Amino acid sequence: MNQRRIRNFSIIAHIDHGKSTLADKLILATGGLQKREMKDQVLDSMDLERERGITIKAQTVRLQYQNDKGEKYTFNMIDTPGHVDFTYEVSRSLAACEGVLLVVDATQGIQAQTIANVNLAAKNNLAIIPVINKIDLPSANADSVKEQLEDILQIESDNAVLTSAKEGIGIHEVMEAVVKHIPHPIGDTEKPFKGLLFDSWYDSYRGVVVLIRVVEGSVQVGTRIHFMANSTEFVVEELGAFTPAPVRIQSLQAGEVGYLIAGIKQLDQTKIGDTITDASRPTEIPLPGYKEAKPMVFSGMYPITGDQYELLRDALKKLKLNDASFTYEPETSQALGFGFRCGFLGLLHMEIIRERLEREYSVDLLTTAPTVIYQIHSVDESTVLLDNPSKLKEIRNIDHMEEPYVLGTIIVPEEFIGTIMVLARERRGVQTKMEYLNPKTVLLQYELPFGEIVLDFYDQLKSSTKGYASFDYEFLDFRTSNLAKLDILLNGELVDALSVIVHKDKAYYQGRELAKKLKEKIPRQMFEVVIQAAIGSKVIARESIKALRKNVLAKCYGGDITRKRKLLEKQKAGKKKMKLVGKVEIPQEAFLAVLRTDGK
Amino acid sequence: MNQKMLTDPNENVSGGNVNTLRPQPLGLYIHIPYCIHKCGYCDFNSHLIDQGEMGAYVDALLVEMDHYAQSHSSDREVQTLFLGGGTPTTLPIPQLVRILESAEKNFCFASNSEITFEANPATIGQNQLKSLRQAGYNRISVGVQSFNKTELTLLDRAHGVEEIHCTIDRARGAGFDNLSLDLIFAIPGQTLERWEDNLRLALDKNPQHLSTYNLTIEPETAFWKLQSRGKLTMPNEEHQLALYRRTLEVLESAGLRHYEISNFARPGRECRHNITYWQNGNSLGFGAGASSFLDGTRHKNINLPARYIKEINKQRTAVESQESLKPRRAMGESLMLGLRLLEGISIQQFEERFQTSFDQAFGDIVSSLQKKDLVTIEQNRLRLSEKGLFLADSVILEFIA
Repeated sequence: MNQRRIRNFSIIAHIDHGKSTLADKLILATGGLQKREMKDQVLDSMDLERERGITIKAQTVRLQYQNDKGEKYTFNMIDTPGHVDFTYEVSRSLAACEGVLLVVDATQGIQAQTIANVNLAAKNNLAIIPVINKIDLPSANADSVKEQLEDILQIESDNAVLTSAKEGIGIHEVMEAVVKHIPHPIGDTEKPFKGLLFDSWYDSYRGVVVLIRVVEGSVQVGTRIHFMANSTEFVVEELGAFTPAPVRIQSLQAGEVGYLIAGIKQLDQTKIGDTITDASRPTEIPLPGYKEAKPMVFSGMYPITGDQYELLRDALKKLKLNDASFTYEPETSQALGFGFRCGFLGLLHMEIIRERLEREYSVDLLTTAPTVIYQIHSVDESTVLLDNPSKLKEIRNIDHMEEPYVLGTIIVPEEFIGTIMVLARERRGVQTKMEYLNPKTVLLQYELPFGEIVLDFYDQLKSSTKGYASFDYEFLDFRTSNLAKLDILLNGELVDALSVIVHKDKAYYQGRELAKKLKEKIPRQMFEVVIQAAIGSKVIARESIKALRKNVLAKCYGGDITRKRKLLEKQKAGKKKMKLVGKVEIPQEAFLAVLRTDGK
Repeated sequence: MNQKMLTDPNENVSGGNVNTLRPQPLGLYIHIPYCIHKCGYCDFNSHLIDQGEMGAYVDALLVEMDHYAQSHSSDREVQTLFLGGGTPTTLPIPQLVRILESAEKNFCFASNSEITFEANPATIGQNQLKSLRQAGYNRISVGVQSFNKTELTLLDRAHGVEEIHCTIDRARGAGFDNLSLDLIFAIPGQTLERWEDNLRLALDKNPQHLSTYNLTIEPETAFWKLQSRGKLTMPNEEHQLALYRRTLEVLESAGLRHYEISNFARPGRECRHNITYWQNGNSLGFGAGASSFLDGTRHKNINLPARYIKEINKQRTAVESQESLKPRRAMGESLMLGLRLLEGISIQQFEERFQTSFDQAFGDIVSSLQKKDLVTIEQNRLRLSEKGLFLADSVILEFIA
């Protein structure tokens, strides 16, 4: 294929600015799908994605476009996920492109993720076409967005396309702009095959499917390929492109994007960012690749009843096949028994895995409160990574502890500056930047302990700014902090799964709040339940849940029987979802109570 | 507690093992859904009286009775009939007589059958009571609720204190020697003393039977709305418990036997009809919203009287829903009901009914509850302990599937 007629691009946007809708309309407009085949947001294939309105796995489609001059072009549109947890997936998609469509909501202007995404695109030297979307809305202000683009992001706004993806306005102009402003690929087709592996997933029928961007040379069905980082070899069984339906192709050439199937059985045999080459005629220099995404947030996942342990293990194994960024390993809790410590990219990622386990694998699950990873340095200068607060007691001779810090970017209307400052201070944040994007909108940056963010920061931020604040963060480094383990005792017995690492200055406050929250969340039992919060052997807060003394229905005659039984059966179903810790029945919400202790 | 059994343990009350030589016992319930007024706490299927509809309603009742009699009367013997509501005495007396006559014509009644009707104070006169007694009704249950004027007002009752005394005295005069009174406790503001006064005034009437109900705020009732607006506050749990404990002390020392969570009786005067429910025995219910339970299948009629009448006229039945439980759920239901009785359940009868080992199914649950002193097993009967009585729902929950 003539590379001059290829355009490889991604769409990037802040959440809800209309990325998926635009992608759908481009597929429709190029005849990739007929209207009746279109489900809304076709690229968001998983149910969960559709429900939450976000994209989780990046997907790629090949579209055919004939421009106004009658020339035929091939567009490879590489979808990107729209949440901060999955930033690394955005960056790997961008590595396969020459340009991006930057979608900005005309009613909201630039948001935190807009900035993060533009920075990523700039790092990859990509052409940026601004798409100002939702111009049909009464509160749209395209001129103000153009100003922001120029002033804040230093992006030329003359090329900006005005669209309403929802109404189908400006779609044609977007496609013309793609042809005009995004450079075509320029790989040497004669050189040895060099391809970038930018995504892969496990298909239960076909094994691992790999998405590649051919950088140089070409690959054919039957070629023996070599994965340079993993040093493994496979024979190509099938090549093709998604239109969005998969279409087989005999060969992929420099500049092209497509999928590759080569009898790969396990997802970990493919490393995202790896360079693929021809085993018999290898390229000399691999592509730079990029950093692997490491789990940042950890939590324990336990079956409610012990007999579901095997089920949970199998489910985790299957999920892992499809999601290399998530990790799990067995752990044992005194309170909860046998379970797994799982690592996630962020809170949303955790929520998604949790929901999939319950929904797709029918595991009744108990999740402990999320924690970040801590570095524990001992006096002999060795370092241990701590992903479970309750394990802190096993580490001897601690010299000091470090916690991860992030750079948080917040964009808000200026009337919320005070609110943000208070919130950030409560979360131990240090302001590093404050800049007016326009007279009414401010960009604030804070260096924040990541541990403070996983505890409900985003919800707090949203609720205290009436939903106006946008937020994004990037990992900075580990910093020494004065940290302590806060323990919870129920009727005198330590419940390890409720332990959290807190900053010592906030320990008393958090201990009191946590005990109070637990009192709300744990239902009354037939005996008194005493809740204590302690640091080391020192009890810092105490609450008590009075014993249930009377619980008896006055009447039950002929007409009441069915109703009464159903009521009890419903109660029983709720009770079965509780975890018995010692003698105390604890519902899931109680294990996440720490997430809400800062709630006002 | 007097532990005389309510029923001969050898008698099969479950309907599981058919004794072909003896007809099977059956209870009949007839629902009269009309009231002159809906009280604030009431969540029963009751509707304001509608003179235009009530005649058609009784006609429909008789049609329904005739329908079920054809299929269920031959091998069964009616031990009890209960005419409940609503307020049955909102119907003209001849209609109440007609209902009983029709039932007796359609079904085979045991010679010592218990035939109850519910009456609210001020809804019935001396002669009418006499007519009902003569027609064959032999037990009257009076909805007193309280002997205290303030409480009656708070409960939104349509009658005063004087009318209670009057109705009870008339019933006695009419020859009802089997009298039951209903009382409600834990009324907002009710002190222990005031409740005890209520109990004493009730005992003064020498009732054979007393039902004392802890006031419960049910969803969608007028009280529910008041409570959610903060205009009605129930006594706290400790006080409700104290009131209940006092009830047991006062009534038991007066010679009434506590035989079910909310029911007390002179020995031998327990409500046999309701015991059929708690022993999960067979019963047929007629009328709007009435439930029937026959050989493991329960069905419930349409609630709204007008729709009930229409359906009966169309097809002689007015069933709205029906269920037959799988064994494990049916067991849970039997335990839910049986444990309400102070005598508990006979493990032998349970095993015969469900053809299963009780110990195998519930042994672990029972021993855990025994350790917590919530249930006892004596003479092969599972019962709530005194502590378990106050926590009956929590205990029962353990047995639910």
